Amino acid sequence: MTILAALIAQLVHIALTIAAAPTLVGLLRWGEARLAGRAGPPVLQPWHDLARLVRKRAGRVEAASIVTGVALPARLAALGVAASLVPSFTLGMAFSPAADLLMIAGLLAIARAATAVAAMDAGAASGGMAASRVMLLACAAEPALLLVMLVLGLQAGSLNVDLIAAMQAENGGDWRAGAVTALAAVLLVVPVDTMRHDGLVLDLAGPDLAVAGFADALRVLLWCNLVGALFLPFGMAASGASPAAWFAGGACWLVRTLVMAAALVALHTLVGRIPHARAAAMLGVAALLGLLAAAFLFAETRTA
Amino acid sequence: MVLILLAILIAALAALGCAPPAVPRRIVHAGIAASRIALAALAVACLAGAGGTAVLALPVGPPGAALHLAGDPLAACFLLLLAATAPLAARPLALAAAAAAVLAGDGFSLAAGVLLLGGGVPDRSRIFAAACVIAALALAGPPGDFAAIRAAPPEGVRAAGVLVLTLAAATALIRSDGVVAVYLLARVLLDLCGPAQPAWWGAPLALLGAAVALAGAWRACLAGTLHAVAAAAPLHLAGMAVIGLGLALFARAVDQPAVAAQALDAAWLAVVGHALCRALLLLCADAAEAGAGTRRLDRLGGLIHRMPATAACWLAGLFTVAALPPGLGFAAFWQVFQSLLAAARTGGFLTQMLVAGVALALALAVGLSGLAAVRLFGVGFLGRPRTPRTAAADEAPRRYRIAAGGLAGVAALLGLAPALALAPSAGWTASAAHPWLALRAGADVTGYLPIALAGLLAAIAVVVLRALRPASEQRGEATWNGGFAPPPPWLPFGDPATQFGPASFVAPLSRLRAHLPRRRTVRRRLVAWRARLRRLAAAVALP
Repeated sequence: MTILAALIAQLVHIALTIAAAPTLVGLLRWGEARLAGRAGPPVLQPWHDLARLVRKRAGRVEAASIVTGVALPARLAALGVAASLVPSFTLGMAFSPAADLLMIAGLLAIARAATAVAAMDAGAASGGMAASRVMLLACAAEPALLLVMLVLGLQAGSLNVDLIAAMQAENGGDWRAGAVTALAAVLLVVPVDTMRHDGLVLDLAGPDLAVAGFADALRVLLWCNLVGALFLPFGMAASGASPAAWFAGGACWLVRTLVMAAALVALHTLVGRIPHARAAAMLGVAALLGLLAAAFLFAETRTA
Repeated sequence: MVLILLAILIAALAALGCAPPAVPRRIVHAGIAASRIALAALAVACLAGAGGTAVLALPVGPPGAALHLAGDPLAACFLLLLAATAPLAARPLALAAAAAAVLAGDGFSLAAGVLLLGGGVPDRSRIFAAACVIAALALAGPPGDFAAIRAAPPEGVRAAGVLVLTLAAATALIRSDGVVAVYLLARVLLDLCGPAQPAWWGAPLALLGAAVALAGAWRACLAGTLHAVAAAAPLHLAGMAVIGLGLALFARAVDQPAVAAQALDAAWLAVVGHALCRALLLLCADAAEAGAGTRRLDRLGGLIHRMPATAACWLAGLFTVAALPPGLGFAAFWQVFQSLLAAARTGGFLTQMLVAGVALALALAVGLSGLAAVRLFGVGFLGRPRTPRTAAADEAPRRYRIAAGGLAGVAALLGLAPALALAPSAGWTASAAHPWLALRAGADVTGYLPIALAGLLAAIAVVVLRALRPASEQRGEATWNGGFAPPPPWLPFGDPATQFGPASFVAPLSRLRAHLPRRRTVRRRLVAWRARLRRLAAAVALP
């Protein structure tokens, strides 16, 4: 019975993720437009855009090889697997034994490499420039993420996202300096990793562009879920809980995602586009914060 | 019996290496291929226990110190790896030297093997390494069989001297012969120096590993040729292996055998990944150079249209090197990171901060190697050709394709089932048997499941590909060249200068390099001083 429940929870989670990803992007665009004093597009506009792009005839530049056709679905697959592993409303889903944090970071790296490779396939200057920027920023983001993982892994005794979420939910309000600093480091990485690079999709059209757009939306939702599961897993149904608890978990997830969407909208409105030099500096600060988080954690375990 | 056969094989290889040039190359190549297979078979026989722990004393060598061969599990493991990943055009003497170094049962044979690793006149780094090995083993104990050193391992200052000398030898070797360097560290520091060494011994190894990983990845990012990238990119896996050995030393000193076994597993996975990637990438670099006529990245481009098989092999190697799941490089990275976590759990504050620093360097190295991989593949194989010669490149000969495809297949297989790679090393890592489908850390029930990941990825990718329209319905458009004037008729593939090049891809890193302290060689200092004196003389001469 529990296996069946875990399977159902997994399927519901996947369906929720697919439904929520483009809607979240629509919500972000609507919110930004409202804050800028415009009426804004409908919240479901990304769905209409995707449907329109999928119906179009495919077109690729002459220099493109099979790589474009493989890299874009591979990117969507990597982000899809990662999104299906990070819990949203309940713990103990069917895939949870495989939800290793290091592997999720690896899947994000695959997605990044695939988008860079697809952009370089067209042989235009803009694609190469954007690919270079994405990969360089990824180099700077990696140390911060790995140090945060070190902190969380040491606290929870495992790198499994489910176990970490369960540990954080159990700790509840007992927020230590280490966890807060780690959260700050991640919050610096998120806006840089979800930055839009126009050069990456400049040479894509039709269904290719739809796949790239859906993957972008999935990445935003994945980061929201990841921050939620790792640092704010409040209200999430415990592993093996009854389906009735799922509804409460779902409501908490909805609230959490809306709050994070509001924060993202506020950030985009206040800061605007982050210049690349400042993005690199932000990631450097994030790495230092990660180191600080580790130091705090070690000092805490000494005194405890 | 197995050891006698191995000695005969090494002697035959050495004889093949000294054969006069009149011997046809075909016979030499066939001889090398046959002896590689024989070496691998004998290594497997050693691993199966046929060799035992016996030591074979050869009737050659300096008086009073005959050469010894020993076929214990550590030696057999590395011999298997060397035989499987020797380059296609290996010099027979180089293969014989590598086998002799790994099978050596005393200091002189080990040093002789290290000295001849290049298969020709030894270069400066190998002479230095061999001298360090001799000095380290002379400091460690009496000459002759290793058993004498094991019976009375060095202690105190003597042991620290052995550590420093072995680290120096490994540092000199690791760029050209990573596998032998890692073997040297494992043999001298973990085996010969015994289990009773202090816990701080892990620190210099971990720092050396982090430095090697960072330097290798950095060099791979900035390198301008296929071969330079292929030689530098797998170095960060060798660095991971050294970190794993350091963590194993530390865990053994604080009496945590399970953590030590895990760290040794990590080191072995990393060194297997390093050897496979290095062999595969250098082979692919040769193939691409033969087909495209150049090894310079800024003259390549669009090779995937002309050499699809070579491009696929490059992609497999770069995927492993960039430590992306579910590749072998990621399995090694995962295991090293778990060992780092375990070490941070047991150590004091200083150890923990050291672990955090090593993790930071490792993360940077992994990120940089991803950058190097994307840069090489994107610039060399995608986009438009940058020269007419590249536009007319030919696919590599079938011999190359089969060899590279085999290596790529082995790397992919070991990435999906890391337990397969860990099976031969159980004899010296003393780790418990691994489940076939997962990598696990300690008592943790969850872990890294590469096959499940690959299955999920493939399923989603297939669904998306099916949902899209088939490629036959697509229309091709000319590449937008960024607003430049249309290319003249003598540039049929467009102006190559409108593409992004290999140097501009890493321009921020090059600018960063300009700010780093330069390595001051003696010659450069002399030149600087001469210039200063000249200016002084000119200033004095002027009224």
